[in-house]
Amino acid sequence: MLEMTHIKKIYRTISIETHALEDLSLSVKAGEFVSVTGPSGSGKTTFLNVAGLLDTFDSGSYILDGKDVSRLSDREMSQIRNRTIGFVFQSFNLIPDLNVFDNVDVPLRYRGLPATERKARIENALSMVGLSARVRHLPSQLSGGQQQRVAIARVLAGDPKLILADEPTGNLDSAMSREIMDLLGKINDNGTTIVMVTHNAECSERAHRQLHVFDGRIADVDRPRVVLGSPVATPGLTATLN
Amino acid sequence: MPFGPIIRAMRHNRMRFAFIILEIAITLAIVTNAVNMILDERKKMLQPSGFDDDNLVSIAYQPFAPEFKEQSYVEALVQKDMRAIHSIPGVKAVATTYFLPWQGGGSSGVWKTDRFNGKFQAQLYAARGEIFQTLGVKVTQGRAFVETDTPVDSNVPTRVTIISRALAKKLWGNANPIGHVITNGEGATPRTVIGIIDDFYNPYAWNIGEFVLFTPGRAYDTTGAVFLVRTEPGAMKSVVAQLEPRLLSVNPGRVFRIVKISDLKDQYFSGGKLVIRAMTAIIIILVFITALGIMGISSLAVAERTKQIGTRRALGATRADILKHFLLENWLVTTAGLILGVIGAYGLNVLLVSKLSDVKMQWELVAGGMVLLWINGLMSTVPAAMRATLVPPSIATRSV
Ligand SMILES: Nc1ncnc2c1ncn2[C@@H]1O[C@H](COP(=O)(O)OP(=O)(O)OP(=O)(O)O)[C@@H](O)[C@H]1O
Ligand SMILES: [Mg+2]
Repeated sequence: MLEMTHIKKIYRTISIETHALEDLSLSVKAGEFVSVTGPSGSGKTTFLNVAGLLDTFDSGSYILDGKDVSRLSDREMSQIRNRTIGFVFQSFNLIPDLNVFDNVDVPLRYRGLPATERKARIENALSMVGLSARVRHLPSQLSGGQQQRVAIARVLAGDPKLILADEPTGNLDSAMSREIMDLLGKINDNGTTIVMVTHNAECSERAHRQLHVFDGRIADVDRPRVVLGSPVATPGLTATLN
Repeated sequence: MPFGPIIRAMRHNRMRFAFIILEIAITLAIVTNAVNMILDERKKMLQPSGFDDDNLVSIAYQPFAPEFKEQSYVEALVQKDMRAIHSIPGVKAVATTYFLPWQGGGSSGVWKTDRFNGKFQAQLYAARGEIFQTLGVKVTQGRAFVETDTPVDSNVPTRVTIISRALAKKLWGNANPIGHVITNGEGATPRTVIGIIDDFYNPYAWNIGEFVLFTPGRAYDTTGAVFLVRTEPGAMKSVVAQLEPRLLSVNPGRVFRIVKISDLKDQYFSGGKLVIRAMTAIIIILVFITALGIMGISSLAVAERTKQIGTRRALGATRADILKHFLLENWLVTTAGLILGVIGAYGLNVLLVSKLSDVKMQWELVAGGMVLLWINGLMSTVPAAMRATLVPPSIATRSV
């Protein structure tokens, strides 16, 4: 699903260069649920940005869903983000002026789907996260957990092959976190690949494979754990530690 | 086009959009009416007077010599003066009259006549000499004045009149006006119509500018006289230089005042020119302020939605989608303002028609104003909308 080799990402400002990703190589198979942990500033978000085509990288190669995505136009990257990838953010990133229904609708409109199909997808996705009764609510009228469920419904409605989550439970209490993790687990059970950055050990435990980022490089923490009913991946990871 | 969600989202910023909608509406209302007034003033300026304005000059004198106290002396002197003026090279015609095109100098009165119900208003001017040749107006029916039309005794009222075609038409339609009699409002001093002139239009006389009666009266007495002189094209300067010396050689006991009709015309339009300048300034300032307002509001809209734009980009919006989003939002606001503005434009016009000007609003003007403000609105949003397209999608994952 995701194949990164020798990825390098340097942030340049006038005065300093930050080597955010230093020779990062990683492979994630379709259907895997991978967690990424690491100290603050180690490059987890940077890795996720590169993986999600939210940011470019300086060198190395990246094959996403069988396609070389190292040299795409902005337009092509937008299209892949729209169709292949679903994002879950730490701060939910719902659009405050739009109600729940319109929020879930946002990526579907950019995909240019007809209104009837969009409506069906939105209603289906909202019922999967248990928020069918909240379609007219604004994000500010929902709890944090509910907002994150709307964000997940937004992902589900798009039916992506890959979900990238950056600390999806970072702003939630433990009960709500568990709810969200259950949801992500269920989605993964249906075959969607998930890569999730987290600080939370409990959340990390849910993944098939736990990766550790340190100074812009990635390492496998432990052996892959077998989760019943899901495809088990051989870790295709080339880890380089200092 | 995602109209629905944009409109629904805009409802959450009602006050801000209401402000800009109102600003656009007021601008359209005022700009269209200002343009309307400018066009009206220009139309007035471009309307021909029917006179040979550029080649007309008037010279008046005030006497100080004792011989001017005798009316009989003045009678003879005016004849001599007219011959003297005529002999200046480049003079085409001369008459004595108080009438000054673009200014007036006669009176306007209420008159009565046969076969016309009620009274009517018209300008009245006394003149002697080649008055119509001087003005550049043609006698198209009947005859011009002759010397014997002027009574020898200056206390006897004149018995004939020459009127404008427009007045004849108003009074008797297409019937032959020659021989009809016009009296004053009380039915006294009857004057028979002996000739018709065309085109006569004196803008100074406003709504009766086309309606005139000329009588073969005296435009001079013991206190002075006024001559109207028409020159050959291009001879104005040399004629003006010789007028005073020539008349001084006839009688030096007087002072002169020379006025070119083209100067009177400029003076007449000075108010209109001021209106045009003021209205132009108002238009420029209003459009500029509206542009600034829209720029400010769209800049604010983009600045406070950086995270949202990044999120939209992350969710698959292309740069073009973002551009479209902000232009569309502005287009909706502008259009709402313009719709309100159309009502305002006509409303203000109705108010002005009863108070200030007398011109109805043209729909072409309103349409033109809408197009102008649409473009203005679009152009004013473009800078902010372009900035929005530069927000990177990675903003979406940035904490705070
Ligand atoms: N836009 C940027 N410009 C410059 N430097 C950046 C930028 N984004 C990240 N960095 C730097 O790159 C390094 C990696 O940052 P990143 O956000 O990927 O860390 P992280 O592992 O996600 O940290 P955290 O756990 O705090 O979220 C850091 O040193 C950070 O300062
Ligand atoms: Mg981070």
